[in-house]
Amino acid sequence: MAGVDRLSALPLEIKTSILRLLPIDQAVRTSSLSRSWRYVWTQVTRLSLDLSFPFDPDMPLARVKVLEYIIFSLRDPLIDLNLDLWYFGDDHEAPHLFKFLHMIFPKDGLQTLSIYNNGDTVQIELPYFQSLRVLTLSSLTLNHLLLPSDFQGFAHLEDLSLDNVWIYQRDIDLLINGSKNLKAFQGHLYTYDAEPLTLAFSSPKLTSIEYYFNESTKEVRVINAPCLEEAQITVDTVDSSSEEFALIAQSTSKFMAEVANVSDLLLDFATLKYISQDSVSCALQVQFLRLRSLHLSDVASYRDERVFATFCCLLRNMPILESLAIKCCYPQVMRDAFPLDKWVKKEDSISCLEQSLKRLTIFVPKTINTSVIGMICFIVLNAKVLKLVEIIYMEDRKVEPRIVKGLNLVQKASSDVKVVFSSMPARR
Amino acid sequence: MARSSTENMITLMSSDGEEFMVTEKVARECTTIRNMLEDDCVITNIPLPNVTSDILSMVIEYCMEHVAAAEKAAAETAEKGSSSAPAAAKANKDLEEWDKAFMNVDVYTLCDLILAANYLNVSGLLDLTIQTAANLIKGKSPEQIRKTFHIQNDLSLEEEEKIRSQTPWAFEKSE
Repeated sequence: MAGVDRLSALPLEIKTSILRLLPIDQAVRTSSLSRSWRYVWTQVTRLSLDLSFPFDPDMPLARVKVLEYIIFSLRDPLIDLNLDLWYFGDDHEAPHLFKFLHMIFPKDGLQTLSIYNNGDTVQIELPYFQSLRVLTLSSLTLNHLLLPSDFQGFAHLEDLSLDNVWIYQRDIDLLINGSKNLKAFQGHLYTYDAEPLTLAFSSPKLTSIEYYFNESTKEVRVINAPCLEEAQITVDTVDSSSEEFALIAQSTSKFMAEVANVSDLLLDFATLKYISQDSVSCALQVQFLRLRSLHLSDVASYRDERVFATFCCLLRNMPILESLAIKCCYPQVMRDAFPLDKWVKKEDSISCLEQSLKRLTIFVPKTINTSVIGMICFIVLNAKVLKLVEIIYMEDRKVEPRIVKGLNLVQKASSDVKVVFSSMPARR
Repeated sequence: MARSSTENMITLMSSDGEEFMVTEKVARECTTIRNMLEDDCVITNIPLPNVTSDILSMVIEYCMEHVAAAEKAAAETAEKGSSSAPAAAKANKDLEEWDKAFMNVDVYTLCDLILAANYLNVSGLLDLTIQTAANLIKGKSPEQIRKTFHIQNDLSLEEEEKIRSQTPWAFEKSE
């Protein structure tokens, strides 16, 4: 058997699926293996382009030329394009990104386009890709998104994710309401318009909205989305005495009412500061009558009593809640200043604690801060039908004795509860 | 763990005539066989003219391992009412380790496994083998790749030079 070349004899579609798993420069490198490998790479239809491969810094537009070469060489229309710009976007290169996308356009078959940019701001002028199903734009800095002048929405778009994107009011309207098949929307937006953005969803198939509230958004409205099941709310943390704070507080609270019918809600813990407004009593008027699962993320220690009041108020307004997940953020220095007893006191007549809450899941990055211990104790002491408390360490780490001690006390108080400790598999 | 004693057994026959008795559940890991069973549920003997006995026995070994792992996880969930994360994480890791050890084969066997996984449509095995092949190519110069897979270079020096000069950026890291 020695010396038999089995790899070259594999069917073309298998060879292209192998090449797809390689960085593009290494896939192109296979063109010099032998005559039969000469054009194999040009027949890939799913491409992950990571532009971190070496290029000649003295040659202007070196990477643009490489991109052009790759796109012109491809034999078939691309189906998936995953583009990691990797510090693309200095003054020379950036304007050419637009050209590059338009080069794919004539061979339109693109279903998935995701662009990640960790460099400077780029302007992405999107052609009208007719078959587009998934569009993901994300970056550490801001990208500008521009759409064609006659754009009316992507007819097949199901999944739209715009993270750190500058956009015009007109364009976001067309994107979310012209794309009638939209199922999932994720937004973290900024705008050039003088007025902050108003998003109004009238999307018959929409099942999930994830929105990051900042001062660029005035309102996110859900006019008609009968399939909406899941909402996720994150907020920009600004000084609570600032004008922006008032604007964000208003848009966040309004949005809560818009998504009152969902069954899954994910809240950034900082959101509680915004919706608690200025009184210790509950400011949240919304009843989440269908909500079964609440996920609080980035729970930090807050000295602020309003947060506790708002937390209780949330629970009061979620009468059939079954599952509560709390994800802690890294503990801060102030953690011990928190008045633990405020959390541990008994609260009466929170109906989900009396009747429905069965499962409590705590995600811990490294160590639990006191407000979270307080929250656990509060839930466990008050929840009458709780069955399971699961504490998941996100890093492999031994469980702290003070937590075990605390939970032992809790278990004595309520013998039905099972407490499980675990750690997430270590992954890079 | 409800394995019924009357579970259907299927006979798979390799290209060289060897017969392998497997449970229907294991056979169903191969989408190609699952489709045959769904089209005709009384079928019990399936000839596989494209797969040799040594490769077929490996495919079966892979399917059995993955079926057993899935059954174990399901049994644990049923027993405890919920899956415990550390056990699940450990089981995943064990299976990953098993896959890794399973991929410790020569390149001929690897290519045969790719073909068999593709023909029988075992998606997990196809992903695993294709990734393994990609890993064998990754980071190597053309000459090293040729050596690994016994690829005959039928390009003339001039042709090879021409290809390299068209895409110099594709060769910079390899030399």
